[in-house]
Amino acid sequence: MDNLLLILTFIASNKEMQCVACARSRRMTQPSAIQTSHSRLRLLHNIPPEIAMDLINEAIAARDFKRLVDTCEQLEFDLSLYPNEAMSINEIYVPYIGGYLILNDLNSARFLYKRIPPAVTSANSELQAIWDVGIALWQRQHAEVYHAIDTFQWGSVMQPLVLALAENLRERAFHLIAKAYSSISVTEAATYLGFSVEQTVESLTAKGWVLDPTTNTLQPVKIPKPVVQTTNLAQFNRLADMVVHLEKA
Amino acid sequence: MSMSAPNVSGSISGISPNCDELLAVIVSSAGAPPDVIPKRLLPALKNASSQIFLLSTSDGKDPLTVLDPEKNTIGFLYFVTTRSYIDRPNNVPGLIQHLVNFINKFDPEEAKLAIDRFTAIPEALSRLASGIGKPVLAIRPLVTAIQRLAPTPAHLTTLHYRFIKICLLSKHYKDALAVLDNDIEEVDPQRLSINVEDVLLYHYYGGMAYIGMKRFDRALEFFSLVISSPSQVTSAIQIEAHKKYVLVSLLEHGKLLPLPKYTTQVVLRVFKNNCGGYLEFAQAFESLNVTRVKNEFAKVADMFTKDKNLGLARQVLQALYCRNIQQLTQTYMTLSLADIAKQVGLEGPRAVHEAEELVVQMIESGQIFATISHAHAQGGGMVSFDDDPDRYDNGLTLAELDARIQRAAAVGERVGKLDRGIGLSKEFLARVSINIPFHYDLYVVIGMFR
Repeated sequence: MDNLLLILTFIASNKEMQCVACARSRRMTQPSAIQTSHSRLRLLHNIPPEIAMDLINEAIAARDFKRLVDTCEQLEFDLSLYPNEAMSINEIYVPYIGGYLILNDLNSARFLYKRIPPAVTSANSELQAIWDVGIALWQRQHAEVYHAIDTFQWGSVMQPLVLALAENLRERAFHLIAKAYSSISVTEAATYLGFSVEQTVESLTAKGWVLDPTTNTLQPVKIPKPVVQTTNLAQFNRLADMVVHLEKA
Repeated sequence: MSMSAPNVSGSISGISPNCDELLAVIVSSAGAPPDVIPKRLLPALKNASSQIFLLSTSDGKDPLTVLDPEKNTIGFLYFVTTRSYIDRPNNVPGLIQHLVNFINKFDPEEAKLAIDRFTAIPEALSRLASGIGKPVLAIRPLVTAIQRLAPTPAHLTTLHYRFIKICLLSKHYKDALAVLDNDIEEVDPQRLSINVEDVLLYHYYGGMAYIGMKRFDRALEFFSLVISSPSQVTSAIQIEAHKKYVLVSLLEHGKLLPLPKYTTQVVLRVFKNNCGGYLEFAQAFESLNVTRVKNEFAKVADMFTKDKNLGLARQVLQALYCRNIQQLTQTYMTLSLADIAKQVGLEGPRAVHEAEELVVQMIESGQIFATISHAHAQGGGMVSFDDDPDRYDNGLTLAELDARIQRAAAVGERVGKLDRGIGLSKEFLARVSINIPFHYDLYVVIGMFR
């Protein structure tokens, strides 16, 4: 309750906050005002460490992983500039890497991992665990990603994040199989989805895929590409502009 | 603020002023007529011994708290940079906070009058930040400093390459992209005291950052800019950029792309004479013959290691398999995974599996169009290669086309503006009026009235 109050007063007192927190105050201020104040005030308003963990939890709960990463990027700076007892910078590294992984920004995750002091890494088993997930993703070993996620006892902050990560990967894998295979062996599909063979058959046939029992393969249903229709008045305008431009030259 | 001696001009001539007097000069210059800064303030600061910038005022105040970073930009700049540069600075975290505060508030116009001094900020900040094991502290403030100093995001400043270098060293590649993604179009040597090294190093380090983030197309563009910069002699930066250009070009396009026509011959020649190994490796790669590429790689591996390009070269080697698979799509309609593994030179017990992984990866990234069938189990599965299913008749293509036309139009407009600017410049007019026949002059005159 105390924290909630703090957050509210924080929002009220910082209507023109930078990136992270402005997402929360978006309802209160004009987006354009935030935009213009963005670069200018970037460093003036830092995130109060008391609410930092709440911001992280909230972004994870809202499944807004872009905001999660933005928050952590800001915190990495803030907590270095104003060290304090309420929160250690070491606490943000795990969700920070997790955020990059879920956004599939493996390069940034890797560089972040490289800049964490080795002493911090070796003392934090959750950090090593999330990095094992990162390595498996980097090497495109689906089975190992699911395995690394399932076998570690994640803390309360990370639990929803890694679940979302597994789900996200499963969704991507599903689309990938549908695109790359005209038929796929059940075991291979199970590896991609991190399911048991029975689960795989069940979940995929539920989506209309056909099981061929003689070869023990599944035939995916092709996912049609969404058709984007953009013919509208704005296009005519641009066409007119273009002609004017060409006439000029 | 209690300050004595308003009659400052007398006391600075001859002997070095004390801290109070110097502060008085600084404070009295705020809001003064424009020539006061270059005529009075800058000489006073330049002549002052660096010891003075470390002192407190006579009543024990810290000048950094007395001065206002916005109103006394140059004065504050001298104090804060001198303090950052000494061997063992006092109270490093406090100093960093002063620097960060300064970067948020400094007056860009005034800073440009002391640009040499201002250019020391990236190194000062990064030195302090690394000194206390928190290199991250240098990154965000420097982005702000660049944004505030540069008149537009398209302007290069003396901070640019220094910032990118710090990003590379402290592994903050993503932050570097925030700056790098703005294309540089304006280089203003007079007002921002840019020299050729600023341009070369910015694009060289920028290319390296793009390699780290695996955006090879941009990296290639940046290296190409370095190599094709007009020059009388070859710079070492150009050679290094050329080495990376060769490797990135192979990685991204499977062949060595030609450099722009206007690249200076001497630059190409020096590269050819000194770094022939890279060109031979490129030739081997273009043959797509795995054995030949591996042999060539072994020959030049030492050179790659010495140049710190080994990691990049390994990625090139890996990309060879993808290139070969791509070649197969032009010859075959269907092929088993085992045959693919054999044809592209994958070896070992996992070869078939690796081939499948590569094919899937290439389908995902859109490099090839194919489907794998496990129902035909012989040879680990069959791959049928398709044509590009996209008929380019949908809204996406239209939107893409539209965006490109707009970009081309915008570039055309800027080139036109630049062309007029050059056409009207004294240097150009002086030149054409000497050697070129009459009608060109006429053209220029007409250009003036257009």
